[in-house]
Amino acid sequence: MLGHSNTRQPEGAPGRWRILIVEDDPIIALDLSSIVTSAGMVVVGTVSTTLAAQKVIEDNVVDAVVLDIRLEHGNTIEFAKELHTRKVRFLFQTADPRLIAEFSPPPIVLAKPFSPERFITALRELLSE
Amino acid sequence: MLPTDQSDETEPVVETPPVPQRSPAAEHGSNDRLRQQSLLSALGVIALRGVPLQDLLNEAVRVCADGLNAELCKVLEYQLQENRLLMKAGFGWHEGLVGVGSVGADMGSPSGYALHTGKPVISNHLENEERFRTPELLLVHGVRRAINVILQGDGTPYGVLEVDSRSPGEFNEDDITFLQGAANILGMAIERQRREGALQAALDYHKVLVNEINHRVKNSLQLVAAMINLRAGTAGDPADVLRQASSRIAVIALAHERLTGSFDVAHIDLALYLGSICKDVEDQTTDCDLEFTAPVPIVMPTDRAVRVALIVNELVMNACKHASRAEGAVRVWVTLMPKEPDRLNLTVRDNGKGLPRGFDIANARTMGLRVVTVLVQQMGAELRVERPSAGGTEFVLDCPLQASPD
Repeated sequence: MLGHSNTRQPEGAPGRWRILIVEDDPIIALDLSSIVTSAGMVVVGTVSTTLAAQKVIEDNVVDAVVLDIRLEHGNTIEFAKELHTRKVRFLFQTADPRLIAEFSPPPIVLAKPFSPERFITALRELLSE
Repeated sequence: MLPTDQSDETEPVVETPPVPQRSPAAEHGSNDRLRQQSLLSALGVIALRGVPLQDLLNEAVRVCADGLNAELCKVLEYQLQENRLLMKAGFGWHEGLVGVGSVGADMGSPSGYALHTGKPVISNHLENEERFRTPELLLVHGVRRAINVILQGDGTPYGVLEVDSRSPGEFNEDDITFLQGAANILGMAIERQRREGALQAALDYHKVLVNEINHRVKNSLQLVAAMINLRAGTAGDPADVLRQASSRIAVIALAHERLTGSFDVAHIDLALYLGSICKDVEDQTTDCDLEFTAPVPIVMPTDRAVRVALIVNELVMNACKHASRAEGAVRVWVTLMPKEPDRLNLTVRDNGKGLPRGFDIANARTMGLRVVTVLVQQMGAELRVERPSAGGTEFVLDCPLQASPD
């Protein structure tokens, strides 16, 4: 199932990109999810814990994960490393970019606050990798 | 104009230094005193230079042994828990004793006596000592005489400075003066290090605090942007839309206001915070009479408190907007109560005309109530709608104070 996330999807079919949002602020999550939907992509899940994110990834095809770093229960750095190992694309969106200073390879990082346009541009950039 | 012949009155008169004497009597005489003074002033310079404390202690034990023509010297630090004096720096002792060797800090040991009374202690004949027992550490090093002075800054005593000798002879009052002088220099340096440590801790804490606040501000701005974005996708009277946006921003801003001057930005008293929000709403609306009751403080994570406050804000806005337009001002009661264990119970009741039949908040289409639904869901809370017999509507929120673990 995860292997699927490796397969490049044809350009011009963005409706098929499947995005998982990991964000513990429900309003920000709602906003991100509506931005993703407006861009013609599919939100596979909006979760506030890495455990829930894990489950979504195991049960679904996920093309990219949008990761908040600081959650109510710890941070998502370890989870991001696992995503990297499993070759699932992800980007960080955070109000505290210092936390990923030593993350390698350097991931895409959106520093809060950011506009919907910057968010979608970064997401498309990630998906075209 | 100064007459040149008066110059001898302004110039200091310097006494010709005495010719150094080699006689044994002079060893304990003024020559020694001069040498001790110069050792102390050199130690003082090192202390003022702010070298690391351990380096200063190491230098001090060497200087003190030298100044008293003794073979051994040590700095003892008081260990409250064990009531012992631990060797922090030593000169002339067997290998490996620094940081390990210790003596009792009770009144029965010379060092303990000096520590507790602050009085210098001289024992010139340890083999015949009757006032004190001779510590094991001194016995194994063949010490015959010892001199102890207290080490103290402005605060609690740090420990004791002790010089020991194997040779016969006597420590005297002048030796006490020298050793106490060295101890005072060390005491000031120790005090300074204590203060620097406290300042550094405060600085470190403030760095963490600034990062926390920074993080919170950026997150809050994203939250504000998200709420405006979400609202942008829906229709409505622009004036109304802006007023609603402004009240939502105010809710978030007031959390920051409450955190100002607080040392714990991760937690907030929801009772005070909601109180200030309700006061704002009360001040800004003419057609809504709002009463807020919270009998006790409810301290909870700031993020969650902001979510609860946003829910209250939406429910109050909703009540003021829909409750009743016919009968003058609407009355709204907001009540916050603690609920065991680790939950809160919050009610928002109005005296309006009541919700339409079949109203289900989960299916509400306004952005405000949609936001309420996701907030309630994310917090693991429950929101019930009741229709009191007296009329109006009552929303009851039952919410855990902490996020539930994964």
